[in-house]
Amino acid sequence: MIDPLELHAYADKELDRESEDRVRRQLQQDPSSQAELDTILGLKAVLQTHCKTEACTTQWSACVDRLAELDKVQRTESFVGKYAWALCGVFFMFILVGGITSRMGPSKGIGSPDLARAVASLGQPSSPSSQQPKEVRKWLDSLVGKASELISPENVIVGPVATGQIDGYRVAQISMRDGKGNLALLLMNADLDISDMPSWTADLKVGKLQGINCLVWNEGGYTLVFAGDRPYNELEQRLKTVVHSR
Amino acid sequence: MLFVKRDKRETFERQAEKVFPSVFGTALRLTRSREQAEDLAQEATVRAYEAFDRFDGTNFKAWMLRIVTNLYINKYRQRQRGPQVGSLDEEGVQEPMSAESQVPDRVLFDEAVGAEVEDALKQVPEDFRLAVILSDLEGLSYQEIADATKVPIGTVRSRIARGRSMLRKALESYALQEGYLRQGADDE
Repeated sequence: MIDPLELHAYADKELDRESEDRVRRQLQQDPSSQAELDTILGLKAVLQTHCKTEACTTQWSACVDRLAELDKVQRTESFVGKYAWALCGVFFMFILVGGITSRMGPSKGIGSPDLARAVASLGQPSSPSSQQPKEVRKWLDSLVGKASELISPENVIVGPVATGQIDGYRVAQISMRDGKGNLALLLMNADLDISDMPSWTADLKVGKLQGINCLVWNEGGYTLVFAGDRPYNELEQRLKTVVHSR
Repeated sequence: MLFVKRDKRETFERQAEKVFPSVFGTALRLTRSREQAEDLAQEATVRAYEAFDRFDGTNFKAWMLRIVTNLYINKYRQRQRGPQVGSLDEEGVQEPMSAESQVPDRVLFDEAVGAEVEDALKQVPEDFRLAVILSDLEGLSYQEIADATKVPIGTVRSRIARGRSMLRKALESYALQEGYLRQGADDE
């Protein structure tokens, strides 16, 4: 009897040529081995005949859909992976441009409540030691810097000066006095937008500072507020003597 | 890049569609559950697609069946409750099938119907069933089966022989249950 494992291999055509010839010769002389081979071949044939291929069109369609989905995900991942630096760059640029625009663009608008807020931000005032115009100018220069050049201390009595800071810019309030009462010049070191305030003349706007009339204008990179408890026309007249450019 | 991808998928789909019935059939015969077979076949197809760049271009069907088999062994086998093979001596001496049988092959094979053969196959323990399926139904060579199941070629030979022997016995008991065997044997 031929080794059954060898017979199975012979039936499966898995033997090398030499072994195959040997088994073939042995089979001719061994009916029991031939019967075993017939059984093996019969069984193989039965399996191939009766185990039909299942219909699987639906399952295949599901696979195709899944592959398409997989491709889509891979494409997206690959795009993000490849261009992540660019996306980050665009995002960074967006932030940068936004920042620059907010700094370089039109300045923030201002109204009467903002003026009051500016005054509220002021610190302890300091008074001039002398009323000599030269001394006063020097003293003003030490407190408000270049802005002191705008003022003519000769025509009014200069009182205490208070300084402070609000929304990132410096604020100074110079108290003054003339024959008709108290005045105040508020200097803000920023070219603030005053276009929404009511106009008095072409470049002068009017508003209220702590309930007191005031004139507001922009000059030399500053926003100036001249306030006094008197009508606007009188304020304007006094302004002409206090500020050079007026 | 997009076109290369599309090309790859088209090539893969063309080849995979041809062998998918074998993939699904094998999955079905391994899991013995339609639902699990659908999952297994689909997962194997996706894995094959992902690894398609590494396919050596020789026998696509054998490659796909290797993936199904590996996936089944690694992932699905634990879930199965079928007969385990640990107690069976795979390398033991193989007895001839015809010598053990009291039933003529002609009767047994002629009377068997499709459902009975499938049911008989289901009764064969898993590793032996897998070897018989891959060899007799899918036509894989012993070497390809050894690669797919990650066992030595000698074990494959032994599993196929023992698997067929078990299958014949299962068919025989089916025939006895159905009654046609006695009648067929008498005719003989």
